[in-house]
Amino acid sequence: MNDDPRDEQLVGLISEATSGVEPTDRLAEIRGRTAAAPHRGRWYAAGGAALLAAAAVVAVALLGTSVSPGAEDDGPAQDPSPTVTDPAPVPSGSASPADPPTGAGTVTSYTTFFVGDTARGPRLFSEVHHEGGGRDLLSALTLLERGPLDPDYRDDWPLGAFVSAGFDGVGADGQLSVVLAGDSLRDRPAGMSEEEAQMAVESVIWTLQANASEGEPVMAPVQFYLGRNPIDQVLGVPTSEPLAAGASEDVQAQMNVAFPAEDQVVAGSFVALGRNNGFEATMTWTLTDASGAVVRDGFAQAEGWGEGGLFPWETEPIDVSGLASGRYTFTAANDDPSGGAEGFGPDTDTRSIIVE
Amino acid sequence: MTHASTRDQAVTDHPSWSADEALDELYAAHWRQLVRLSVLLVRDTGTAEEVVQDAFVAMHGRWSRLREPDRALAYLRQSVVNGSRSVLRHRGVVTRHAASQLPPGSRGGTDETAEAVTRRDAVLDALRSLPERQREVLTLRYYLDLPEAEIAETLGISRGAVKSHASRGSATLRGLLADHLTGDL
Repeated sequence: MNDDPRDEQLVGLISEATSGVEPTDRLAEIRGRTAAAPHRGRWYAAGGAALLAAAAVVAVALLGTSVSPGAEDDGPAQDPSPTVTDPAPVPSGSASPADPPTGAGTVTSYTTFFVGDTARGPRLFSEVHHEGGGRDLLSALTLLERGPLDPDYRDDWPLGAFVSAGFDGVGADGQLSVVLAGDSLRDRPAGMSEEEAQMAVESVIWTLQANASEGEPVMAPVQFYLGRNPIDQVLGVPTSEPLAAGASEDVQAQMNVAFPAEDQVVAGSFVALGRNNGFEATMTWTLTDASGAVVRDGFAQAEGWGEGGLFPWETEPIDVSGLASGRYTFTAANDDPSGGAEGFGPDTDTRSIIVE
Repeated sequence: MTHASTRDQAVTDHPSWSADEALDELYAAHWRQLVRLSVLLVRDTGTAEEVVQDAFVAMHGRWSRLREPDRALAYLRQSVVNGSRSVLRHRGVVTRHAASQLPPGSRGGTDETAEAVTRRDAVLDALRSLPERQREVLTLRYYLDLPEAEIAETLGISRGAVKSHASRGSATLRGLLADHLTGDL
């Protein structure tokens, strides 16, 4: 596989854009920090603590909620949507001014839904994204335009697809609305399957419903507009009438990892969290190294299975302290009682993580 | 006896640099380029310096495991990309507003034309508007001239994903920078 040629005009522009940047000399400052640090550097410990704190916050956010938008039983509930947490600590000096600014304005967590593959076809996977500023629905949709953190999911909506989004009511009696930037999204693009288009539309519905309030998702139907008028179809999917969210079992991947996040840096040990709906509430997980060899594995029980959307699961602490540093893949899978002998394979979700 | 000789062998395989020497050497060779890399990702020079400073401190802390300059540089690049991404995620829209206050390099080149300044801001704005992965891939490919395999390794994604992010990103970038591409470069 040869490398694609570079676009020399863009190379020139990018190189020119940096040419004026003359950084200040910080060698003395760096030396000061490396001299002060104990032999191995204290950010190992700091990373572990931050991680535990993040896992704990996610765990709290998961407790007491068991259904997702589109589920059909009693209370609509939320996918994991911690309000204040840092899901992606990176190697950084713990005393550094570059640490995430904690007081720099409001940060809002959005639960977004992206299309990814399962053995049953394209389905929605949720990801929590953090954005500066207060909660607003267009910001949530802008996250869909910008694309998923997990490269296994797809980026079905182009930048600038949405111009506004709103909610006109209270609870499920209201109506959510989204205004498209133009009619170029009316037809299904060549190369996009009908099922993919259906899921891309669902991703907007689920994302709007999940973010219409601070707490529980709002199960109001969604109307797509072009200008002031409803648009008859989006990506070829009929949209003349307000659309309700599809049922969880038809729309959602039945396995979804909430923690670790993609590119999560872990050290010491971590607790993985997520939601699934799998046979007898069982989920299995593996941690594989770059060669694909399984270096850790285990299983966990979710809070339920069967009807009612996805149910939270949480692993025992996964000890990675003995592993060489580097990239690993965390894979969560639903149990397959047939051992692969019948039906589709079980749904899985993966995260690429960095063990320090 | 066997153990002793194995250990001796391992010791002689170590490069002669101590962690402090590695820090000095790599800083001298790569500080500016890594800050510029981070500027392309986060736009603001001060923030970029913080991110790269953290990367050097982290590299120093693990020199005993990296041991080779090439691996240390790969680690630095990965740390800079991860650190830049983390800063962006935490700052979100805040960064975008702050960015306009201080065009990077305004303290630099003295004989820059206004046109060049405009063009540079346009490039940084355009990069900033790309999806995260596309921005990272393009920056590593077009600025650092890394081969796709190394980009894949740095970002922990497949080579196929590198190709698709690169092609989508450069198409978008060409669209955003159309005015500047038609000019005389």
